Amino acid sequence: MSTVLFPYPTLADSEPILSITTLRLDGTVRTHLVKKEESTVPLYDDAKPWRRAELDFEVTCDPDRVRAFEDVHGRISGAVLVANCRPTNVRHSVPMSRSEMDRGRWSGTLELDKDNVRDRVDLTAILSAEVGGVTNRPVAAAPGWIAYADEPESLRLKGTLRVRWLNFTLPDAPLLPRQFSKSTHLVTFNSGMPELWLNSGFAGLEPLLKDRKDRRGADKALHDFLRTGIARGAWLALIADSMSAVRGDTSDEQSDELDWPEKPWQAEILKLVLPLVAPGKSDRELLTMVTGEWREDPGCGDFFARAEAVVGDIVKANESIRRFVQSYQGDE
Amino acid sequence: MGVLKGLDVGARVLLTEDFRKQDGGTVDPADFVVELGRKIELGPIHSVIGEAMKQFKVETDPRLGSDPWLGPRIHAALRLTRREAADKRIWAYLTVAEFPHYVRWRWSPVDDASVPLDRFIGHESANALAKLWWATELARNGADYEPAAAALSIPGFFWWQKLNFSHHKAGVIAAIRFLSEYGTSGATNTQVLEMSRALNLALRTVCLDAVAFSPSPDAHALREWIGEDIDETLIIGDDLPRGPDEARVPEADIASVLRLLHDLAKRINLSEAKQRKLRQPLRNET
Repeated sequence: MSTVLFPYPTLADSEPILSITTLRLDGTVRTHLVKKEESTVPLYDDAKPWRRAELDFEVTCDPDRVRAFEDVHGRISGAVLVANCRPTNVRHSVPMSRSEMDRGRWSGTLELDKDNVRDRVDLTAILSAEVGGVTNRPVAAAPGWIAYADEPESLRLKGTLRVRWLNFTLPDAPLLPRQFSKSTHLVTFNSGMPELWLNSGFAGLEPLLKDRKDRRGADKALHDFLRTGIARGAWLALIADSMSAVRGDTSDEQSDELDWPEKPWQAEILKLVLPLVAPGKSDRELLTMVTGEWREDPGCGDFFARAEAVVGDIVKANESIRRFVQSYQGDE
Repeated sequence: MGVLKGLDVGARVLLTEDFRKQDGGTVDPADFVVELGRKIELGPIHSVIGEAMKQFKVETDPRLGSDPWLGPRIHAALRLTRREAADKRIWAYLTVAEFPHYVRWRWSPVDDASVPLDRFIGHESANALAKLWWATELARNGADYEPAAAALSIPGFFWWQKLNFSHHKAGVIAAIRFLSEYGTSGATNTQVLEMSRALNLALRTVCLDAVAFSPSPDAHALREWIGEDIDETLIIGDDLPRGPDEARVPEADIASVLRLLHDLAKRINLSEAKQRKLRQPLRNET
């Protein structure tokens, strides 16, 4: 998220590159699951359930730069891949072997057992050396890869929100809809991904919301206004929930900075909306505002005033009204 | 006795102030209960918690003694993989549906206030049962629960539990030894917190995984242990039970991290920290 300045010499001008070269699931090669462009390994995507994943990896660094560093500061003594799985609190470090031919290349194999991981595993490679008489100084870190043990709760991957029709008035409906049986809709956060529940017990709602190509004039306008009105409310609920999940990450020794929410969909929502609410701000400034002034009075009100307007554009509410007005004036 | 289930976060609506008070009774969580994949019997954990509430009566303060006794025994009674334990819904089910009386007994303030919500459905370091299970899982040394019992005797250890440092096996065992043995009677609350802050900062310029490797949990040994029959009499006896038969952390690795901690304590003059005013007070964990 930001450039770290170390108070000692590092390989900062020659960032190493981590790559996963081979993937085996229960001994069978499945390297097609390695997504180099995204630096991800969607283990969940394999057709067969797996128990043990083995990831061969290598770290490469400009050998001339490494040589120059070692000539001045001494040998890079440590090379380790660290696999962190937050949900299971697993921190697994794997030593790397250095190539005898290329002094800027290290490699190793990470083994993951499915019983030890959940959701995602973050992989980071760290090179360390004795610098200025202090041992085990990190002198370079390769930007991370992510191995997904489970499908991420991502709007980007799963498309839009899941929408379910449900009769809120029935006695076997879940408790929340029963408590708000007169509402047209609810946004629920009970399972991994939020869902939009529409009330089929609300007389006349289904015909109004149903997509039909033959809608014209006031009928189409009413359909669009209702649809975008619900979408506006749902988006604001998602934004509020996502804002509460911004992390003050003091648990990570690499950084005590604020960080985007852990759930992918929450991070995606904020990364889309916040830059539109406050253009020109850096990620760090935006997250500081989320945990500070935007949570307090009067900043909170100001934030939602702006966010509501931004959402109006995202769900194309403004556009549909503009079109309606234009065609209505045309009819006149 | 039933089997382990999960409870969706929507159950929060049931956890009223009244429910969270000492005489809060029970709620019907049926609307929010979800079935899990593996059948895990709850008989052993019922025995363990019942025994703790008998042994640690209110004549002193049950809160002072029950955690180190209960943590390892809950871990041995509720045999989960880490993947299973990472499902927050099971901890919500246990605290809300099975053991609300324990949560109130352990966490109810002396006045008529209600137990904080997060003791029922909070993060793993706040939920009344998850925090004991996870502290034990992180701190046990192979089958040996001694370090876990020691960790749960350290006031403020739960603050360390949240640190990424504590996911490092040699690191957390070294920290428990350091904090238990520091000074004449172990580190004070203030020293525990000051040290965690200083360590967090120091580890930005020291690669802990180069000081000592952190092995992956031995899933094979864990699965064998999970498959064993549980002898409840061994779990609730005076002796600590035995955990999964994993390899112990090499003493040389623990010693390497201990050296790092002692050096750091000297550098920050930790012995003087007793009197220093905290920027942010420790949450009362006792």
